[in-house]
Parts: sequence; C-alpha cells; structure tokens
Amino acid sequence: MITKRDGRKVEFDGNKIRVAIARAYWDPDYAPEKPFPPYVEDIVTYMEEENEAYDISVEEIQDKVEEFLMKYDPKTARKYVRYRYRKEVIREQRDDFYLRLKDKIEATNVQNQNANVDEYSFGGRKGETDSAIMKEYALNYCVSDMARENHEGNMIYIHDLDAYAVGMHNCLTIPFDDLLAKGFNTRQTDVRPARSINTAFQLIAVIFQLQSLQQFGGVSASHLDWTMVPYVRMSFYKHFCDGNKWLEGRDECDYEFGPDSPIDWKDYKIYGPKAYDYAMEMTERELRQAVEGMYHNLNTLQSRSGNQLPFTSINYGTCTLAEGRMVTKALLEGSIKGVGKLHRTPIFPCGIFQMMKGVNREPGDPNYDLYRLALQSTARRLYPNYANVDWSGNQGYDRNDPRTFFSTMGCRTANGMDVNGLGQLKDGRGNICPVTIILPTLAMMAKNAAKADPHGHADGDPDALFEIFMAILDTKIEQARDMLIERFEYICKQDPRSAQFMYENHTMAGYVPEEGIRSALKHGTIVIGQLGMAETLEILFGTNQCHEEGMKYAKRIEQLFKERCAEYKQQYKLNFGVYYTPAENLCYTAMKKFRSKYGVIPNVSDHEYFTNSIHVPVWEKVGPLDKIDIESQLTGYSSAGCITYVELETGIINNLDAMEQIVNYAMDHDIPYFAINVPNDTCLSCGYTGEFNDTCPICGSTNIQQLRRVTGYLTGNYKTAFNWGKQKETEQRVKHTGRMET
Amino acid sequence: MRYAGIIYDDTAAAPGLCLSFYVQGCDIHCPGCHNPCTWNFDGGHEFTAETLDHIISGIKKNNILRNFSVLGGEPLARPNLFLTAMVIQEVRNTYPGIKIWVWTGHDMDELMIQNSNPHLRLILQNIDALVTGPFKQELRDITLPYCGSSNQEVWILDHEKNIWYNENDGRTYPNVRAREDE
Repeated sequence: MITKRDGRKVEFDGNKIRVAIARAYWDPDYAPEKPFPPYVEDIVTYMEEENEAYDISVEEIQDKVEEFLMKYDPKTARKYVRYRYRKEVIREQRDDFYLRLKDKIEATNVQNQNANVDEYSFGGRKGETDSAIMKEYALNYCVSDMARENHEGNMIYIHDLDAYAVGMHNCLTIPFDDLLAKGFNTRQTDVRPARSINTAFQLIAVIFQLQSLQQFGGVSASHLDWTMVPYVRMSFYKHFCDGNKWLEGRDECDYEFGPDSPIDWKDYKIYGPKAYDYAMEMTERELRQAVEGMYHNLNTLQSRSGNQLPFTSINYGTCTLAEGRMVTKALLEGSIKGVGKLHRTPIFPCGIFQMMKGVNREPGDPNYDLYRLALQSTARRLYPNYANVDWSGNQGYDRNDPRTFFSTMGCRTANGMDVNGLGQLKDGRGNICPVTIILPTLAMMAKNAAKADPHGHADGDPDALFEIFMAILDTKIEQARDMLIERFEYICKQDPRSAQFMYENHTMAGYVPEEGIRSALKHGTIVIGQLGMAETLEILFGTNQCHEEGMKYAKRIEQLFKERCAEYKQQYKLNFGVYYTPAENLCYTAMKKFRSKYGVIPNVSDHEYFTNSIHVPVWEKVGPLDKIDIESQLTGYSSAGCITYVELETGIINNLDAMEQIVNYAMDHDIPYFAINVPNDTCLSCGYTGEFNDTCPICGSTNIQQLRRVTGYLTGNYKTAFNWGKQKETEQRVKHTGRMET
Repeated sequence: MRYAGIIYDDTAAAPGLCLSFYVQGCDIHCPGCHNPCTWNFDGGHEFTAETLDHIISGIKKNNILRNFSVLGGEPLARPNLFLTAMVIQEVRNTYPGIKIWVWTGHDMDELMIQNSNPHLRLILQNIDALVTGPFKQELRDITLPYCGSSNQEVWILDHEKNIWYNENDGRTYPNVRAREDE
C-alpha cells in the first residue's frame, strides 16, 4: 500500500510514476501509448518490490525516483525536480487559499469589512467564503495585468472585486413613480399597480429588496414624498367614500371627486364635512402605519447575500402639496419614534432631507416646519442627512421635475449630468463601478523618485516634488480610466437574464432590448475615487488642507481629477466622475499595506486608517463652521458624490437652533451633501439614548448598543461591527463643538 | 483678572451657536461640580486685552453671529464681578442684537437682594438670560436643557417690562433698575 499525503492508503499503481516522469520530461499531455525510456520500467519495478516490504509514502517514492533519474538521466532528473517543486508550490498555494477560506467558513478571523454583514452568521460565513473565491478568480482571470498590478500594489483599488467576475454593477436610484404606477413582474408572478398608500409603502420595501439583488451596492428613492402623492389621494378617496356612506348617509359619491382628487380640494369639505374629517384621520393613520411598516421591513428583511440588509436610502422634503407634506411628516415622525420595543434608531433606510431655497430653508417657507422636524430627527437618530438641491454642481435640473432634484445614495454616490441624453435625471441611474486612487502611495513614489534624482533638484524643493507627484498622479488617473472602461465593457457583456427584474421592468433607465444592456448602463456613472488627501499632503509637504499652503496644493490635485474626468466624459461618451470614496474597509486595509511597505511615518501612518478623500482628519481641532469652510473649498470638484460631516454633542437635541445654523451654513457654502454625527448610545434595557459609553445614566444597565456612522450609513454597535481601523477612527473623532480652549 | 477658558462653538450654553467664556474662581463649591479646576481664584489664565479680542472676534467668526455665554467658576462671585461686567458690556456694545446668557450658582432671591453692587446691576441689565441655582447631585438630571440638576432654573429677561420670566412655571421677578447716578 502507498501512504498518501493526507494519510489515506491506496493500492500501488506503477502507472502513476510513469505519468509523472513523462510529464516532467517531454509531454505535459502524456498519453499512455507513447513509448518510455527503458529505465522508467526499472524504477517502477524497484518501487513495486520496495512496496511489498512496507507501506511506502508518496514523498519517499518521489525521492527514490529522483535518485534513479540522477543516475540514468540527469537532464530529466533536473526537470523532474522542477516539476516536483512546481507541484509543491501549487499545493501550498491551494492549502494557503483553503486555509483562508477556512477562516471565513469558521468565522475565526472576523474583520468586519462591511459593517452591514454579520460575518458570524451562516449566511455571512457562506457569503464571505464565496467572496474570497470570487475575488481570487477575478484577479486571476478577469482583470488586465495593469489593473492587477495597481490593485495589488496599493495604488488603484478595484472596489467590490467579488462582484467583478459575474459582471454586476454597483447601485441604482429606482424609478419608483413608474414601478408603483405600472406594477412589475417578478420571476414567479406579476404585481398590480399600488392603489393605496399602505400598499405603495409595502411595495417600496419589496422593490428595494428585488433591485438590491441585481447589483452589489445601494438602492435609493430620489423624491419619495412626491412619489407617494397619488397613493395618499387614492387612500383618502377610499376613506372619504366610506365616510360618505356611513356618516353622511349617501350610498354613492355623486360628485366629481375621484381617486386622483387633491385631498385639500375644498369641495371635499363642503360636500361631506364629516366624511372629510373621517377620511383625513383614517388616511393619516394608514400613512403612519405604512411608514412604520416600511421602517420595520427595511430593518428586518436580511435578503442580501451574507444576511445583509439592503443598503436603502430615501430622499424627501421638497414636496409642498398637502399629500407630500403629510408623507414627509410621517417619515420624520416614524424616524423619531424609532423601531422595536425600545424604539431604537432605525439603521435603514438612510433618510436624506432635500434642502431647497424657497421651499424649506427659511421661516415662512412652506416646508420650513418640516425642516425643523428633520433637525429634531437628526439630533436623536442621526438621520436624515441633508442634500442641497441648490448645489451649483446640479445645474441644469428642472425645477418642475423632482426626479432631477439633487438626491443621493446614503453613502454619498450621486448621479450628475448624463452625457448620453438623460440630463440631470436621477431615477433609473446609478453608479456602474468605482475605483479609488490611493494617493499616499503615489506621494511616497514621488518622494522616492525625488530622492533618486541624480541632480538632487527635487529633493527639498516642494514645487519640484509636487511636479513629480502630479506626473505620477496623471498617469494613474489615466490607468484608472482604463480600468473603469475595462470593467464597464465587461459588465456590458452580461446577458440581460442575469438581472431580469432590472431589465424587464426597466428599473435601469434607457434599456432598449435590441441594443443590448449597454443602452442602459451608459447612463450610469463610472467614477475615479480617491483616498487620503490629508496624509498625502503630510508626506509631500508636512502639512494638510487645514492650512493655507496645503489647501493650495489640494486644489491643484482636485483640479487635475476634475479636468481629466471632464475630458474622458466627452471623449468616451461615458459618465466619468470625481468621487470622494467612502472607503469603509479600504481606509484600513490600504493603511496596513502602506505601513508594511513604508513603516510608521508621523502624521501619515501612525494611525490605523487613511483619512477619507479630502476630509479634515478626525483629530484636527476645528470648529464646525471651520470644517465646512475647509471642505467646501474642495467638494465642488467632486461630481460623483461626496459627504461632509460635523461631529456634535448629544445635548444638541435641546438646541435645534444651533443645528439649523450649522446646516444652513453648509448649504450656504455649497456643500452638496451634509451629515451630522451625534453619538448614539442606546440602553437596551430602558431605551434611553445619549452618549454614555458603557453604563446607562438612567437605569445603570451595561447592555448598551453604540451606534455610529460609517460611510454615510449607520450600523449596529460600532465596537463589534466596525473593522479595527474604523473603530480607531471613530474613537479619535474630535467633537467640533464644546471644547474648552484653556 | 483671571479666566478659565473659552469655547468658541458651544452648542450647550445658549440657544444657537454661542461663544462660552468661563471665568476663574468660585465661592460656592457644589459637590459633584463639573469643573472644580475653576474654583481657585488664582488658577486659570491671565485675562489680557488679547483675550478680549479673541472673544469679540470669536463671536462673529466665519461671518456667523453667535450668542455669548458667561459661565465659570462663578461669574457673579464678588472678585469676578468687575471682569464679568466689563466683558459683557464690551460684547453688548459691539453686538447689540445677540443674546447674552449668564450661569450662576446663586438663586434669584440672593441676586435681587445683592443688587446694590453697581457691577451686578450693570450685568443684570445687559443680559438676556440667567441660569440660576447651585448644582445638587441628588437632583442631577442629564436630560434637562441648560440645567444639570432639577432645582436649577432658566430665566429670560423681558427687556421692555424689565422683568425676569421663568418659562417653565411662569414665575416672574422684577429686574434691578439703574440708579439715577449711574
């Protein structure tokens, strides 16, 4: 018997030795009918005899074969040794790979790459394992050598590599107006159009689920208050007819009302005052329940791979019709009320309140009251965030079409002007794929190049060093472009049946079946992201963008990004954009790689994470308005999405005026997307919410959930759901208010 | 003259953003005090003309007008009265429209009796709100706006009628009046 590597015993088979030698020597595709050199049979016979004496191991056989070959045929022996080595490397790689898979399968080394995934759950373990295989596959078989080199060299990062090989795209703003009005098809059935506000909100959750399975990123609603107007009317009319029958005593509604009549039509009140009051109350009640249902659905249906909730976002706040106002109010009140027994902060959907001049910005504006309500919700629940409809970057939108108002994905990704004819339309468009340039790596390359310069010109001369850096950056932006085109074309090659719900129901706009899926994908964005502006400036100039000198360079860097993306957009007729990447996991993994290569550099790699895009580093002690002053000088360069945060104290709930000042300041400074971070520690015993770390100040319980924001979204307890880098970043966040300058 | 510190963008000491000025030195010493380091009248930093400039320019930093709040320490302790009055008057003269808040460990009865002091009278006429009362540990309630314990009170000055008004329970106090000779 032979003892195999894994310990199993099998019958001796001399042919295996013949094949191994044959493959080593002359023919990788050896076929048995070919003749062998005569000594091969000697080896086989010898081994056969040895094997009768005792159970010989595979390694021993190979050693013997090697010895024989050395004696009879040294040339083949060398080849055989190499062959044996190659096999061993492959075996080791495979072992290594399987060991990594084992980590995922058994959840022994949980990294929390994505705070939304429970890596301990069955689904999470399966999903993570799957993801590891898909990433390996994509790097080996899908991407170009240039792309792979950039990715592995920590220069240009390919996001969501695990979705690359199957050709999924990233995210989508769903055209809910159409889907609710026309109904839609699924694999098993079709769904009729919504006929009430209750149904409409249920379908919102259903459609979010369905679409999020067709892609790897988030899903959003761009103007949910407007979207819901017809369904509020339908519900109201239904309730009015009931009231008319039972309270007014009329069997029929013999007036020109219909399910599309505005609820504030004065004739309603005159025709049936009791029925009107009844209908109003019932509609509000139905709406409240519908909203509550949606919040619960979006926090419970873990329908995505790896037991994830879909990343859902809802934009609202600009509709001044009675129905739209009612919806915004219900959404905000639902958010304030919270979910579950303890009324906890809903993690999803990410609420985004759309700020618009003349609509909700100032006292006297028709929706100013809703803005105040939004602030109250933000103070308590961190949501909503604030999108700036008047943002200069959204020029060309149609004031009469809320589908073109500035809206975003919760994380920050936004649809800009479409180069393929859809203008500023948001619905049915999304990001197709992103890459991120890891700026600090390029800065180190520039610095090393300057040092190596034989004339020594650049070493010590900041402007010369900057020129070198910009040349490297320009090359990398161009390579990022090629990497995006490479992936975009790969995605375009997919069969529409891969995402049947999306293409059949036209959730992605512009799809013409005869032209293929490119007809839809071309309206999406392909974006060049960036990471670590602050650290980059520290490497190059020992300063960052919080200081005038650093800001000067930061602007020139962003200008290059902007110009190149604008050129590519026209040249390739694809929606290239400058993206201030969320980099939830990348901020940490890129730093780890960076540090292993360049070591610990003060202010650069002496912390666990790179600072996001152009953000002011979390440890900088700046006031909230100072932070806005700094970041607003750079947000204008980004066309594909960015976010600006300010960290406040929980006590802010008693000071909405201060919040309003800060949000207004951000809007006035043309910040496109603004969010306020307030520590949100929830006692899981009594439900009290505030900032108190490990012990509830009300009931003394130590069962605490610490919610914090990551990448625009909230997540569960940051101490268990965030990766190490993000945990550190969170702990180092300096409050922008309430510091005593002593 | 000494002071403890300044918070430039405070959100907890007055409605809206405010600049908070902490005086140094306290004669009350509530058990459980948030900043006992402000008790010693000799502690903190020297108040200079530059400090006043920081306050005046800080209030309208970023071209946004903030409110102004004086805390401590005890701003109305006798050794602090001159500084408190002077800073408040400077701020009031520069920014007539903003709200000025003062936080004291004394309660209304004490303050209105003590009003023979001209600096205190000047302060009480130039401000818009008072947070009064000592901090009492046993009455601590972290959910109260502007107060640390439930015995503390917020008073808003009605300038026209010159009376202090408690928005919680509607009680009023007549404010001190300027003397003829002031």
